Amino acid sequence: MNSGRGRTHGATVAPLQAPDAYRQRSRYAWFLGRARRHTVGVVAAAVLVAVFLTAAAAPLIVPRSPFHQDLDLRTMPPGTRNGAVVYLLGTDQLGRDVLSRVVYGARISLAISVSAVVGSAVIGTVLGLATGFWRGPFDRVVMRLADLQLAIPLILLALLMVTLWGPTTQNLILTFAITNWPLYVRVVRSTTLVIREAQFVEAARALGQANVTIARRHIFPNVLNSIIVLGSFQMAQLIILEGALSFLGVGVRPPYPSWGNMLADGRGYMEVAWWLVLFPGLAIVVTALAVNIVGDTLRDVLDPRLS
Amino acid sequence: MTRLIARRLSDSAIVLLLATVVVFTLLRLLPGDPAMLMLGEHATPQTLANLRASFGLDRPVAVQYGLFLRDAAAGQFGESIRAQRPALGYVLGFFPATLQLATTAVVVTLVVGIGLGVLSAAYRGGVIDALARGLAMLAQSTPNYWLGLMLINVFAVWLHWVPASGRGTPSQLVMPAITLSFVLIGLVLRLTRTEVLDVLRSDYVRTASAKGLGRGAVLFRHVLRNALVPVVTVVGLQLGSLLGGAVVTETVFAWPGIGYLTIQAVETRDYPVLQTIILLAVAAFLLINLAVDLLYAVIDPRIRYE
Repeated sequence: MNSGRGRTHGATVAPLQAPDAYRQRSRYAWFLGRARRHTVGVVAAAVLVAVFLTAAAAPLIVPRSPFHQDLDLRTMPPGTRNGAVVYLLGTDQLGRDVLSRVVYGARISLAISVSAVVGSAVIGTVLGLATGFWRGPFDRVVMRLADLQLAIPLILLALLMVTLWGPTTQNLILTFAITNWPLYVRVVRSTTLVIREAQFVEAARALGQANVTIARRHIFPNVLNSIIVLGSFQMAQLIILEGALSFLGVGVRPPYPSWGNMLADGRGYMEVAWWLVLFPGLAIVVTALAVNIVGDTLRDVLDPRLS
Repeated sequence: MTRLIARRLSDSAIVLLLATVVVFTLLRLLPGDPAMLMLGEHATPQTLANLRASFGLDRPVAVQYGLFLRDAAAGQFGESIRAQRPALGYVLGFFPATLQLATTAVVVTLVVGIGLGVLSAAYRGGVIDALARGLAMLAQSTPNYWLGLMLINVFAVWLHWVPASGRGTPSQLVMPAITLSFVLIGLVLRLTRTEVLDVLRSDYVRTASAKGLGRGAVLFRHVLRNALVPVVTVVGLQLGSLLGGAVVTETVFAWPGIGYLTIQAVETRDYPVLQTIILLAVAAFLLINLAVDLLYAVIDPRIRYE
């Protein structure tokens, strides 16, 4: 009897003691296993981290001030030497160091895209949870607004808003956040619609939990992965869109360097200085490509349903 | 079917109405004097007064919106500040150029995107698949403004194969069409690949193969037809981004279409023209997607709307 009870006791307790260590080890192993299967994704993540670090440390690592003009050294090709200074990526039409400007361009590009992604993800997630949870006329209005976002070409709306409000960094972020939230609403809402019917939600309701608590504690964790994946793809698009607005002359204002306004400036000198359009563009492609590949990998790992 | 059409029509009408609210709010409820903002600080009192009168800026906001709607319904979107003529007619004058460019780009997109997508799926896991997927990823990461500049740099400045910009000869259409379609090619390629792989797993494809049909016949007669339905929808939904892409592409290549006009209107603060362009874009988008949706029910009998 005793041994029998002891065995039962042991059998039920053992798994209860183990989980923490077990879960940690397996998560680590799980992550490593995934990483090994996604070499390209890991490389892209490393590139992205490097871009972020470069942007963060820009003032410390650039060879020259991105604003310093040297009119004797206008449109010098990449590799030009001037005493101790080497212009690795050449100089622009005002004799400024292209490398320093590309590095500084990363700051503005990442700052705007990351802030806007966070902003639109927060708005979209709250609205998505609310509409999916409560439905009703509010839901219909929000969904029609989301349809509207698909119908108005994003760049048109952004052009209009930035022109009206003025091309400051805050306004660019605000514009992107306001125009991009519907992406999140669609995904969060559809997942919410499914999960609100799940038994654990019913159980939570039976226990008397408030709707807001249920949304926060039971539904939100289930949509988080989708939000992260969506956010990464959106970030790549916003890097490109910010470049487009700056290229079109309504984004980041010179002399502050952004990849888009460098392209706009360099455009007029394309025949004599190809490096003025090559390098800022490459910076955009490399960054956007890294973000997209990371997003793709995250989708494979976190949220296979989204593919 | 009638109920479906009625519901889709009412939804589209609501979206269009919301679009007017958004445009109206953005343009009329600016902080400060909208007339001053639209015309700039150096406007003469006379032009300011004219604009205020023509927009009814002295009336209550609700009345202003009502008037705005009434005028919009009648095709009156105000006068172009720059061209001094009715905005609608002025904007429509730029339409053929954009239509030509967009149609060419869509054809290029469908041919290349679907072609590569099918190849990619048919040789899943192989070199072609890897290359095609890499191309799709690259396409989604390449800004069209930069692609356009690089094309000009290589094919116009260095090789002198095609003119750098403008519209007139067919050779001038090549680079803008490639630039505009590149992003969409990536999207269509990925989607076609996914859909074809999905259909390849279905029972009727197994049946078709089992009865001895060749690989090509299965692919084209059974798989492609079914796989392309979602592709068509997505291309319809991308119409907005196509027009957005046209803004950049037309600017890079000085292609005299709606996109080119948009940037001119932004630079000269020609808000009546901008509002006309946005509302026309929304209307065109809604109309085409409505048509796509309804076509479906006809093409694919399996699709039922409630």
